[in-house]
Amino acid sequence: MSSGEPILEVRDLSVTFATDDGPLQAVDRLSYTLRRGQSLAIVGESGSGKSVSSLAVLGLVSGRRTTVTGSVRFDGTELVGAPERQLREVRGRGISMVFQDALTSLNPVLKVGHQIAESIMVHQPRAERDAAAARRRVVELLDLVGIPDPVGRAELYPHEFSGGQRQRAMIAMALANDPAVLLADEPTTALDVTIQAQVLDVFERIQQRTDTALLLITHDLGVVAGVADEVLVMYAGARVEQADAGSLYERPSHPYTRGLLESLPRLDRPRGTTLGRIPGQPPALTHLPAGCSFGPRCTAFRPGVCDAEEIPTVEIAPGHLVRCVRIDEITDERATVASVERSATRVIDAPPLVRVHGLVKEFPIRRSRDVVHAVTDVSFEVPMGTTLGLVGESGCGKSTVARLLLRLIEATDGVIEIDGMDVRSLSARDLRRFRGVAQIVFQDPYASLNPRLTVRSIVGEPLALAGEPRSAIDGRVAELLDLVGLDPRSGNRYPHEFSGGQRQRIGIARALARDPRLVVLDEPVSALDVSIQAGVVNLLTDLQERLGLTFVFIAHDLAVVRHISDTVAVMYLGHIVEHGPAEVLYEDPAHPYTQALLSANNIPDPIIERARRRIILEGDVPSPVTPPTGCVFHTRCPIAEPRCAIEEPPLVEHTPGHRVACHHPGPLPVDISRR
Amino acid sequence: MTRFILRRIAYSFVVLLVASAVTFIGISIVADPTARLAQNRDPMARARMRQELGLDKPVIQRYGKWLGSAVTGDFGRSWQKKDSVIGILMNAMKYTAWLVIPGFIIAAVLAFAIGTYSAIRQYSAGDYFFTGASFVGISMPQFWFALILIEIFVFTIPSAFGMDPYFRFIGIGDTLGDRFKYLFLPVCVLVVQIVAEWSRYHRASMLDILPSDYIRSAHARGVPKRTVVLKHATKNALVPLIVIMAIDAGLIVGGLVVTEQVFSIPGMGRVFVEALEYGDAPMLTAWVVLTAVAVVLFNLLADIINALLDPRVRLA
Amino acid sequence: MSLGRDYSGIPGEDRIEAIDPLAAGAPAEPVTSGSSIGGPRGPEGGDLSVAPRSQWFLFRRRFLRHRPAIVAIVVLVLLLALCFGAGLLERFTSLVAPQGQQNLELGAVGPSGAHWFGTDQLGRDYFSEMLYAGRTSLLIGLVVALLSTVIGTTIGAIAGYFGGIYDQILMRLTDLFLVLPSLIVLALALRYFGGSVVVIEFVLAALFWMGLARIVRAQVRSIKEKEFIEAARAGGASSWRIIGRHVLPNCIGPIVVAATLAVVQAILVESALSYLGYGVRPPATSWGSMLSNAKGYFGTDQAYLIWFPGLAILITVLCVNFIGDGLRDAFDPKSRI
Repeated sequence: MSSGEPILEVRDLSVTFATDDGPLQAVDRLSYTLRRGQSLAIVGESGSGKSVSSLAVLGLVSGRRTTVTGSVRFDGTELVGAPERQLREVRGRGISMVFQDALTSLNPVLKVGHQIAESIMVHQPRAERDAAAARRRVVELLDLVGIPDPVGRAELYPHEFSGGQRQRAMIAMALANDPAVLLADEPTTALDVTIQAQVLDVFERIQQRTDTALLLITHDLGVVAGVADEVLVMYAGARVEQADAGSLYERPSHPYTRGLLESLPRLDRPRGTTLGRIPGQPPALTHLPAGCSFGPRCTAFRPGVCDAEEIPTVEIAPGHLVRCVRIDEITDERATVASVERSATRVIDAPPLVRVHGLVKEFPIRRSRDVVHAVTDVSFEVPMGTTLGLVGESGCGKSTVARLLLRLIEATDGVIEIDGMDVRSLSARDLRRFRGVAQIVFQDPYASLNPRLTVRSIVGEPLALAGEPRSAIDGRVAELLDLVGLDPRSGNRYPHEFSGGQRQRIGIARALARDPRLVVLDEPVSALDVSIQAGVVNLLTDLQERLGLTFVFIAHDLAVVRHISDTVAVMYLGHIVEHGPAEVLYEDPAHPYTQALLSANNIPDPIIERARRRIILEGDVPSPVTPPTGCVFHTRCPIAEPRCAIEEPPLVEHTPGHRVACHHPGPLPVDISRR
Repeated sequence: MTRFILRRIAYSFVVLLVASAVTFIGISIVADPTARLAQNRDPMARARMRQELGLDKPVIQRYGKWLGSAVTGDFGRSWQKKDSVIGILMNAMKYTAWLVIPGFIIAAVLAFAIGTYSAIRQYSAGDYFFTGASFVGISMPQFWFALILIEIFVFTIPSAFGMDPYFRFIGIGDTLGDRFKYLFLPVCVLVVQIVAEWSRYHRASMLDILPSDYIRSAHARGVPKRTVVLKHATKNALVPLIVIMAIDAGLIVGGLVVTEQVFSIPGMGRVFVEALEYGDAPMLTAWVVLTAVAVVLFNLLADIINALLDPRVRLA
Repeated sequence: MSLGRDYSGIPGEDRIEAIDPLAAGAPAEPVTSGSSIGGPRGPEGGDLSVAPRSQWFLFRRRFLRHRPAIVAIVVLVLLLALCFGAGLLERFTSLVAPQGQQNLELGAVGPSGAHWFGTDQLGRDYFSEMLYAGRTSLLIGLVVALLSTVIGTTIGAIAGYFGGIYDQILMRLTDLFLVLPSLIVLALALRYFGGSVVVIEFVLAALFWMGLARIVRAQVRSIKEKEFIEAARAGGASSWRIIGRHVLPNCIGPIVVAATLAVVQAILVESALSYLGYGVRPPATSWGSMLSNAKGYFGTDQAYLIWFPGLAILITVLCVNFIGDGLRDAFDPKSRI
């Protein structure tokens, strides 16, 4: 299929924004060719220019302070500098876009069906517009992307759709005029993994059925491995490597690409490896370094060579392009920090530091007798010095558990015991002591630090509140900053002066201020780019070993959880459905939900990824206000039977130390999975 | 929705009850229409009048009595004019309506047009002009603006719009032509001020919406620019604008005191000023209740409009 | 950067910087109220020697780009200097006459070199009278803004942070104040307490806090959900400390902008009150009361008596509005970087 005729040819596309700090080069001479029926993925971290480049293709970056140069030819027609009228004909008809956030990308006050019909009608000459035909086509499209009851759903507003359905409606809208190119900008990033699997499945079917070319913009190397024929890696606005998917994953050649792949935690790799990490931060696009923009972070950097004038792009194998001046010399060198083996198996028979039994949290709904069943009958123990990974999709109650553990919110029922303290009935005095024993690190590195305070005030606040003298605090703050890998002299600076990864380190330093025994980590790396994430993950494992910390690690990314956890609990709709040692749970998952979750997570290797058996769960997570009767998972379970709707399965031992809440634990029968 | 409206109305009654009590008692403490009789040669004159008006009884008792008849729709008689308070207010309302209704319609149209224009042509000469003009508009004392308009239209350029220097503002005229002559300037004063506020508001909400994802996605689907602005953006921006308009409509009923005073229009504002000067407690209390009812009703209307126009809003 | 700190009395280079643009527009005082609500300052609250560079720098850069606001500051500073320096000008120059000095023989004459703004019926130099009256008008604006900001911030912060029954009670109170027509309350209060400037200030402040209370409440409710608030709670901080140290400093933008609006409202409403005869009483004068005295002169040769005080109000209010707009842009990170 990749031998189709070229449909979209991009040559030396550059986008520059004039800013107060000088020109910002968002895209630097990007070139690629997309053929009919082909799928090309542009991969990069935040700020790599991948999204801007895709908007520039459609002429959607404009404004007085923006300059776009180069050439974009769609089906032989030049689009850069083309009049608005001509661009409008291409938009939505020749090339159509799927945006990341379907909730904000659909007009909230117009019905979904109307918006899709509009996309069809604006491309018809006024005289030939046929509203009835458009409506029929809308229903057909909604059906194509797998939306149940398409006739009724077309009459609903975007907010009445679930997240996954909205994204599919966006895809339906993009397909409305049978475009030659489908440009998808992070189409699954905002979605949970099981929903992501549904959406990727839609893309796959489209590609099988039509010769629509797919341009996929993403940061997720796992998604790419499953979908793309060809991959283009961007860094700081420029292409650093391009190859067909197979060669790129097998023989990543640019130091950046290699670093990325090494820093990625993988679902198919057991605990015990240190992730490779790329040191430093991406450069400011207003002040790009001379020569190779990856130079300052590259271990193969050679002064006078890499920072000289212009870095050429060389073809190291047919169709495999690399922008590296030292490519011939470094092919055998390891580009980044080597992975170091760590003790893989750890003793987890230490006495428990955390004991949770029968934990329940219900949130009342204002002006209603209903409640949100956020956490229902959750019990687990965390042995001292180990990590419990708590995984599940959004809304499963995992973050609520975190807040309950720290008593940031009050539980409705149940027992929480941490370090011998009965957390739910602490006196004011004991609560102050408890604050020194259990601490938390939050997800959002931007929202979790008070922007008005200096780093010293932030990190030192728990100490100040504990009554430490000022002089002691200053010394301790410097020590803590050093501990988390920051300059100990940076206490006088403000949070906004730091990058996301550094901010997360500040958050960790604050949590460690009073030498806690338990640290709850609530999605600590999910807001970070891959190359930054690895550094934080390594820091956490390192701190745990040095300080003997106990972690409760909450995440939706199963690969990261596998990398860091000793035991793992899977949550669904407020319940723990499976709980056991990480190796057991990942190798022999017994609950159908765990199996679906694992199969929906992509592995950054096209060969493995395409050979994997994928379980796609139908539908969406039910509302926690009215959870299903019986087994909460039965509405989406591929092996549910009538009994599951009536009788709630208890969380019982399946094998020693491995608990499962299912009437039919064990591997799913082969015939229910696709491909 | 019905439950929401009923609850709001019930709540409004509580607010009105408290507001009327505060006003009634406040006026009784402060204003004494019999004070002018203190120097009267007949020492009993004041006492007689006090008895006549019921002022010899404790204030709580008087309020209770007032409330008792108010719930039956009887707001009593004006101390000053001896007429039914409701009659006087209804009559005054007619005059105020002549000022407010045309003013509101003109202002709504202008504000929408200017706000939209300024947003899509942000930082253009026209945008700067309207921005500057609306800043001047909201920065002027209302009565001064009115005086200046009179100075210009009546005296400096005589016989503009048939207003010669002997023209005196009083009432609103009888024929339609007269109405125009009497109402042109007061409506101008009203319009300039509210257009300034609303157009800024509409501009800001359009500017909020234009860079949003769904506008970008409409462009990306090839929807013509005109349709994007006038349909996709406007449909979203109109909701807050209409809500603001409804809230202001409630406030304006009691807010024209100064304009009506300058142009001698016997509307609600004049009634208020006269009653205040006399210390006419029944009149003032009814006035407060009426304007408070307007505020409360239009606020409720704003919420209902909001719920009807924005499918995401659920009243509960 | 923390604006709240600029008033903590610690001298330093950036404190002067911090005051500069704000002091002219006067709404800076409310900031004091913001931090005064806060709980005890932690021992580490003292690292003020640190230059809060970058964020403050961005704020200043955004503000300085708002040209109307810069012009407004200059004009307003000049106005303040003239009005409050009128006494000095009177003593050392011949530009300004003593307050209330009459010249009945002269009567009302139009603007001239000797009397820039002419004289009134009693032969008083109108320019001088305007400066003296300006003190009252400006002072009312500033004091009302300060007082109403203190009230509004306190009520909004308590209602927003503690929620529940506190929220219910305080917001119902706010509703009630919003429903009561402010003019009637004002007129009644002024009748009862007399029309002294202090009474006017307090009464106006008591009527202008509601908008701010609502804004602060909404801000507090959204900031309360931020993770750094949870982090502070996990660190053991008390509610009052969280409000004072973590919540209010992050609401400073809307508070300052709302305070500029209060200045505007106060000046305009005072003038309207004076026009209706409920404003400041002689011998005190304000621009509003001057206008009220001159209102009979339109259509005569003395129309300038109407123009000048009105223009003074217009210019002052315009300046404050522009400064408010500039502050809003500068505080809003979305506005053209």
